[in-house]
Amino acid sequence: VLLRPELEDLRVIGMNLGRVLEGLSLWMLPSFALALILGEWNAASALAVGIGSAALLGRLAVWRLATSRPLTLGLGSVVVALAWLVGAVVMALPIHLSGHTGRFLDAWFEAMSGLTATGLTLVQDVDHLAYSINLHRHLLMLLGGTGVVIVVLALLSAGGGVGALYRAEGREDRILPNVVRTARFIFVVAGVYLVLGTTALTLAMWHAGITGWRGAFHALTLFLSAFDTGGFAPTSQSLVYYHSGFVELIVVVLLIVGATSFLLHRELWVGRARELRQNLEFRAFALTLTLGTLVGMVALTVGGTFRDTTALLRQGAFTMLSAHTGGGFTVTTGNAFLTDWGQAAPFVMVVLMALGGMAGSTAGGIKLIRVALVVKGLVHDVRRLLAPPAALVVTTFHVRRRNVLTSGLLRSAAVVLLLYVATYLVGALVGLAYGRWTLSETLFESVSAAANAGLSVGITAPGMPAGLQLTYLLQMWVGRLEFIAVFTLLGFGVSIVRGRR
Amino acid sequence: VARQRDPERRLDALSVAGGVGWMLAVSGIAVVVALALAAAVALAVRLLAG
Repeated sequence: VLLRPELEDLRVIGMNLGRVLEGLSLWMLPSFALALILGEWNAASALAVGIGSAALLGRLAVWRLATSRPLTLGLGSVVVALAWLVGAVVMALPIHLSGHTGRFLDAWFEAMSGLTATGLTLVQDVDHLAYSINLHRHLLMLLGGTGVVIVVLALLSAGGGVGALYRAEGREDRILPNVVRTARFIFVVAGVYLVLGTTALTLAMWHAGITGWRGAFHALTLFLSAFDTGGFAPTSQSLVYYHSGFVELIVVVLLIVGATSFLLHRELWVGRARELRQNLEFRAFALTLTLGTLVGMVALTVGGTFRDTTALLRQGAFTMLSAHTGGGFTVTTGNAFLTDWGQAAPFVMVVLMALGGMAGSTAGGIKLIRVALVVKGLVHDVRRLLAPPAALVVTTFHVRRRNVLTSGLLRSAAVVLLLYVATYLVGALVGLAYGRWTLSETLFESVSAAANAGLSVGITAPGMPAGLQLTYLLQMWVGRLEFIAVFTLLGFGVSIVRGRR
Repeated sequence: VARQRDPERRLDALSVAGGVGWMLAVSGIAVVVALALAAAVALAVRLLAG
């Protein structure tokens, strides 16, 4: 029997959504402060509208809908799914008011791309965007890469039921027994790498000739983008703008750090370095990255795109890493993937983007733990078939500790894997329906959106069809939330209409 | 060992530096492997092309 939600359930959802909006209003304050310091008055007023809207809506919801009813996992999932949709609308306000987007949908797309750390962009004339709005775009990636709820938890220490919100955001593992302390640990990891990464990138910028505070600003924004495996850049030419091997090298380190799960970071930070050797997902990441880079470089060499080692490394290997971690940075000019890279190398990139990074990291995609578990399940079935009938076949895997591969774990990994594949295909089909692009082009762009990667073959551009834009926006949303929260929201909607009491 | 297993163990600067060091080492290995692969692929294709 489908139960219709009670009025109190709606109050719980509204109140918690209000809390998240209050947190989002605080998140825009650094960009607002920068606008005031630099005298960017138009940007300051645009950010003020965003801050005011989020704070007002949030406070109103918390005030009018206050309730003591606890937040269940189901209602928490509805809150999280709505928070990412509504949060992106609120965060889109300053971007739209800056005048650098066409319709409001472009700004909403941009904000969703930032929040989900995807990196596809529709902002026009990025090179002349106000510094504060550029910072706002990049801070969105830190917010989404670490997790909207994580950040709100760390900032506001929200009350009861926070565990439900945490789990609903696609983070199954608690790194520490307490959710708020887990959120703070993730924040501390981001903070440590923020200091180290921004310092290293600032020095590299100064070396590349981008001097003074402008170099530091580029360093900060690139850090936010790289650590969160996002892909936005403060210029329209991504990393090509800098012509710097040092910048590329530091970005490589940050992409690998970002695509590594916070759980593994915790293990390393408490001195359990052997986890690197034992962790199933990290081993899978090392294997797929090595194989993907090798196959991609062979394709590029055989196809005649590159012949020398330096170009293969700085463009070929970098782009494969950028695809696999969901970084989305490019070191090629124009539409090189379409015109110069042949068919095989972009296909390898599609596969790497689809796989994604490690679960519980800032990366998107299917996640390697799911792929590894499905492969282990296949091997388990073969072993069981070959074993004597009375034999008990047990398959284990190491993630933090030795775990037994149960049918429940395998089923949930396989279901989410299939849902990702279905989402990739649906997006490709919608693109094909417009009749302007080939299957390989629409598949590339669709996978890039749903896996929150951000590489583009040029379909995502100002003036693109609104229907396709909305499709990619929804793909970024469901891909980042890993389906369950979104399906719970849909189920909640159905129960309002068809449920009984 | 008991201290290491404590899930709520407080972090100090040394352990954080150790964790960051391990990530730098992993990244360094990834770059060296990529360089070796790029050199091997370029060489192999050159040799095969005569």
